[in-house]
Amino acid sequence: MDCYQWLMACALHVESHTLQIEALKADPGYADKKPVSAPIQVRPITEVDYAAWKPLWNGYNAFYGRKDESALADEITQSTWQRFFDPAEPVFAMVAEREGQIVGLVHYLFHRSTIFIGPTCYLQDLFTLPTERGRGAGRALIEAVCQQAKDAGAKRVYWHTQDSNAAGRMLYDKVAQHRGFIVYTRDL
Amino acid sequence: MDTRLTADERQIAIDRLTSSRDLLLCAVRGVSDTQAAFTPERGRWTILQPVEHLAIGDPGLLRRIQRGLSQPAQPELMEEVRQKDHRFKGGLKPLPRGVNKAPEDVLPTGQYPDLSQAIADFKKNRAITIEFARQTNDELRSHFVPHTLLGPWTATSG
Repeated sequence: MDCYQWLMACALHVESHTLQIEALKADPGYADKKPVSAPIQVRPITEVDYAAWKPLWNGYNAFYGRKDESALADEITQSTWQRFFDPAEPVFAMVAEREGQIVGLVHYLFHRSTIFIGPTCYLQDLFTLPTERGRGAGRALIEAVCQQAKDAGAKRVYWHTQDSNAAGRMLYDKVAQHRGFIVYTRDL
Repeated sequence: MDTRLTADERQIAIDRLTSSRDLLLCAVRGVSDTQAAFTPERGRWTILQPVEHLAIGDPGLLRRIQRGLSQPAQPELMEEVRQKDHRFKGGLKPLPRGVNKAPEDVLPTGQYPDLSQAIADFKKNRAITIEFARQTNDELRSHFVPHTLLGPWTATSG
């Protein structure tokens, strides 16, 4: 191995042991030692949720580099927010709550597909508070979207993430399949 | 052939070092000290033990890199070894438990009284590793250190 590969091995080494830790946490014996926490509840967003939703939305955008000088224009945020409550728009949002506090968001939309008669659901945005990672909020939000999509007659829910989003992918690999597609983007 | 890191190689390393750090921190978030001491069977590591191992592991790996850099460069091996880069870029397939034995100098010995102190040391040492990746101008690609399990990966070993 060359010294660069050893540097990469530093990262893989941590990933390997993280899998080991996740396996331990999945052991029934570990669950017995787990403190009971309040359950996550997922519900559709309402107009009074704006103050709690906005910081999560900002956090989500910052995660993907949309912050400071490259922050999303406020008119886009306002337009997105209003679409959640417009019956004519196929755009929806739900939030995850724990003990009455909003700890996560998910945005999804429906579109036509050439390979299904029914709609296809695109889960566009998913974000939880950093303190909630690994505690089930993300999974609950994904499952809630899947249920909504199923109820709407969709046969598929899909989403994108960055290759480097290792924490997110650890969850996604458990609830969905990565089928090898990659995304090309051309801004217009 | 350039023996220093390209901008892409450097960025890939920084991103992977950062995302793997975040992955571990995510996995241990909310784990109590009682949970950290849990093991399902005798002889199997607890949660605290791999965290301790990782906290001291980065300096151990950096020591190996420094040892490799102190040896004469072997540019003739570069092309073949580089062909193994893909092994370090994709998703991880963990080795079966017990196959990859940790070297003695990075074995957990119970030096941390609780999980939070092990995590703090891991974060501190990982920051040093990331800074090394960000700053180094050493000829990392023409210096080699064999891996006890994966082998030397030189032109002769495959």
